[in-house]
Amino acid sequence: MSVGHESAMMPAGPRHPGAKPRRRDDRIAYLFLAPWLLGLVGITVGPLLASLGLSFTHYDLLSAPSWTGLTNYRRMIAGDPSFLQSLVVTVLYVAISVPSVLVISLALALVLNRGLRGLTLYRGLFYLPSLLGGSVALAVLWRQVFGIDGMLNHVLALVHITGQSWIGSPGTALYTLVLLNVWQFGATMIIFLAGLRQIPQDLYEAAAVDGARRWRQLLQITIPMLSPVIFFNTVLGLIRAFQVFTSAYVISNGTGGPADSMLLYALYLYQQGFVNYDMGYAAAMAWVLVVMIAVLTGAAFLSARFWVHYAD
Amino acid sequence: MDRSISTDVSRPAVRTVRSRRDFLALARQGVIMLGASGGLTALLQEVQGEQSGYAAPAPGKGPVEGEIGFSWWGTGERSRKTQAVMALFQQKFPKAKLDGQPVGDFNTYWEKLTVEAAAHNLPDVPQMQVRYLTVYDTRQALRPLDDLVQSGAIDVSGIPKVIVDSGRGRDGKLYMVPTGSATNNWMYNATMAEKAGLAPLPADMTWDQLQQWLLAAKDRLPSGVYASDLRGSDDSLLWAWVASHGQPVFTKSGQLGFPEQLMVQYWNWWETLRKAGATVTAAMMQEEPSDNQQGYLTLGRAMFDERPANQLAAIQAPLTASGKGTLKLAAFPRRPSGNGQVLVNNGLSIAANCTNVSTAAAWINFFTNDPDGAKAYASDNGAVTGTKLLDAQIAEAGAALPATKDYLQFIRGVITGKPTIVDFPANYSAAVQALARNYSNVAFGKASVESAVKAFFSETNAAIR
Amino acid sequence: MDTAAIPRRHLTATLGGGARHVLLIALLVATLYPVLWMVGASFEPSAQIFVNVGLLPKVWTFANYQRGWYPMQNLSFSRLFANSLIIACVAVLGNVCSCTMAAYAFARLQFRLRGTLFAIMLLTIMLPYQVLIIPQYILFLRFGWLNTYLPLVVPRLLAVDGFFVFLMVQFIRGLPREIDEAAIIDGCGHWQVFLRIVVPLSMPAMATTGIFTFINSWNDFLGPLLYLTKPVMYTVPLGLNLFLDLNEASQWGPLFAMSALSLVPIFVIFLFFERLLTEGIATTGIK
Repeated sequence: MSVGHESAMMPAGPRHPGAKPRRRDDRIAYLFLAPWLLGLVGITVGPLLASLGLSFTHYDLLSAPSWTGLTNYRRMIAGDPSFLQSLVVTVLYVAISVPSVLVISLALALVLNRGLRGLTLYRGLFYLPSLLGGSVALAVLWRQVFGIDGMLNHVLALVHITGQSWIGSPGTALYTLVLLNVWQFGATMIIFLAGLRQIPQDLYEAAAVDGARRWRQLLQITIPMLSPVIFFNTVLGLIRAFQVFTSAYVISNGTGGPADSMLLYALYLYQQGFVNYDMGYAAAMAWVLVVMIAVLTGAAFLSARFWVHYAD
Repeated sequence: MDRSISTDVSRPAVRTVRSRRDFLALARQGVIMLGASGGLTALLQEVQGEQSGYAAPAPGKGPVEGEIGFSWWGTGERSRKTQAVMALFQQKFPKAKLDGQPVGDFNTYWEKLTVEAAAHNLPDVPQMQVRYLTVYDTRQALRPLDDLVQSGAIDVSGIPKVIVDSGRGRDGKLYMVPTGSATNNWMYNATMAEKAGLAPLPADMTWDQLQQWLLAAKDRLPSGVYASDLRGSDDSLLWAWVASHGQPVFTKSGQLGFPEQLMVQYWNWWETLRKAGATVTAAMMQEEPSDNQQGYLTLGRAMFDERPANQLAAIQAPLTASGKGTLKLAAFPRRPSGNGQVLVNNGLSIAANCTNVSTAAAWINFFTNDPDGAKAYASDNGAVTGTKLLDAQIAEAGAALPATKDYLQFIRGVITGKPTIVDFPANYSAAVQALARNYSNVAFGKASVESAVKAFFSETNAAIR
Repeated sequence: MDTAAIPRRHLTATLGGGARHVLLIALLVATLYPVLWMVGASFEPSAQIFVNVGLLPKVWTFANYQRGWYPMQNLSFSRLFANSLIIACVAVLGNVCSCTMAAYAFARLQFRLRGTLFAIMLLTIMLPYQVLIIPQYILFLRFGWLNTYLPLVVPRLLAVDGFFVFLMVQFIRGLPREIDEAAIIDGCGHWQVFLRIVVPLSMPAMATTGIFTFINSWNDFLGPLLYLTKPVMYTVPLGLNLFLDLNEASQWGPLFAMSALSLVPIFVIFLFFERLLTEGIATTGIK
């Protein structure tokens, strides 16, 4: 896969025609990479390739896999309406939650960066929802807010609006999931904060001397200097959003929600693998997801050329 | 991206080791391939496994010593009782050690067990249930127990034959010793029904009579209280419908055994109630938590529901605390032509990869038959299967624990009254899921009953076997 | 780009400090409402939790904390906390070191297969873990690592989670290369550049990696579920699961109590690491 930013990384300086790039880095590079490589080869690669192999088999978990070639993939394309449903639901989920999380976490990171008393406490408290992880308690909490007897309906009742069951209705259930993802924006915000910390103060001072106003500083200094981190959060946000499982599982009681409206891709994958005992199909779904995410990520890397500014 | 190759056209096609760099490159590739093939081989080996299984069957009468692993599901209360029984066992057999491996949640338990079974690493004595048994016994993950019963290592003489047989696999061999009998049935708030001026439920009612009763209740209950919970996606109730209409639920080859039309009638039965407003709404059904502390019956929002009998005490407690009424149990309709009560039995099995069969057998035998053990466990996971033990517990519960007594007597009645035993196929959980998915589509108006039933049949039959 | 952020920033800037506090606190209350509800519920008797609608308990009790401290006989939460803490600390140390090293290589060094390996690393992030569960379990079974903490710790020592490598790469690439090159001209080897320049400047990123690794390790449920069988070795999430039985009666009171308690160590660790985050070194001195 072409790593698009590489051209932005060409070291400056004269080069002889036909000369090879510095090779003496090789040895030291592999020294630095040694733990990661060991982990890759010893722990990651085996299961990774095994899952790829499984996607061409029928594997019911308790007996040996039997080779079936492309059957699983054909079934995905031709004969599985639930698969299409999960795809639609997931794309919708990603399209709404990823930008929302980015915007909110960036906005709050900017506000909580400096110049306010009690910053540490604020940051920690906004981060608290992320700490709850994917626990089952979350389902209870979410129902307490969005259920038919939940807090939201109580608040609406104050202004004489009768609420409905937000997590039980097909039209709104998915959006409660989106809200859950957005609610846990704290992690993304922390990453932005770390990135903001790395921007040298003298840049702002110079700009202030030049008479630039606050929001101009934002556009011309903060955003470009932060762009590698924005890029990271975008790419990882995309990848993670496509893989969301636990929240959909606990909030829909494992069913995929009212009329499959919360049937996220990873949930349907899990259902096929562990409930239908059809792990071969689940593996095929997993690799199709990898291809989809890879295409999107590749596009993101290609676009990075135009808006991500690396200091090196 | 290796630019060195792209720019150097003089490089020979065959890679010879001409420098340390080349050697490292080859070594790297070799290591990667080794890791990959190692991983794949390991997976395939484990999965094909030692199909030769255990050594020559011992009758299980060997010395009771050494450590065996024992797994169960359930929360702190269940764990406490289980550990009490384990302590009694270890008093009796000091040389044996039980390594308890509890997992709290029911669904999490089966997830873990599935992964362990895939790797042939099941705990020696896993707790089992008939709905999952077929998955494990048809894939040789469990050890047949007939020889142990014959040799007397495990004594099942105190258990009614119909219950023992529920632990048999498709090949007729015994794979699970049932230790607890459970059944689903109607559970309703009798106080609420009385206040609403409803006639008591007829003892031997039909489905139609029940429907009329609920429709009548609808207008007589206070506002905000529904006549019934919506259980169109519940598997136990579907089997009750099928059985009471005299049809087999599953065929011998593990497919659905009843006609689609029967199921259409069933869902129409529910839809009539739902559309009339006698049941909670579809959205409420969707968001109802599955644990019984937060159900609509428990909170007094619904008068009538379908629940497992052994949860009677647990659901009654909050109702008593909030003063919202007393619960009564009622059997599923037997008419027109069959017994609607289906027994779902829990029990203990021995893993095929178990190496200490004598101790495992002794533990199962103790758990099933020991009177002190049964008393300590108090039918926590289904009514104790030994008839004498069950009678003793009913007598003891007496007036002090009316809910317990009710539930135990109810099950006793079901057992003696020729219950329906369902032969659950392998991958049964797929059927449960397909049922929930398709009824949800019906209840939210996304599919007609006929098309949903068709979808249910094709989805389920594709997965179960 | 994030054009929506600009008007908001503009707005909060012009409102002044006090108004900002009010806005933040309002947002905070809305955000934290579920957590507050959970903490309130932990002080209510189990039977009351789902009956009482408000945030504050009508009947106060500490029973949930007392009962919850022992999810099983002979197993106390202090044991579970200790186990989780040890695993998490080792995981943090290992992960921060190995990820930073790998990230330095990807970000600063030229070597063969750099692009390919980087792509493979991203690939490992993209695959959903559900299909890896069984092959990985079999792998660790083959290694003989079942019933030990090794499957939970070693992957972190070996930077198996590419998320952090990628994170550090992006941060290190945000540092100007001139600093490196100045040091190299002065005669520093890569190792010294790494230790003396890149690491100190990457403190915010390393602190972030540390926090996230700790939290991931602390909240990890599936790993401990599969690889630990003896209750005495259980971690906090496993202990919490012992309160659950979604088919029958879960013990919600003790569950909420212990969940609330379990947030405390993570919060403390966050505050500790956060200081490192805020003490990022500005580059003016280096120039």
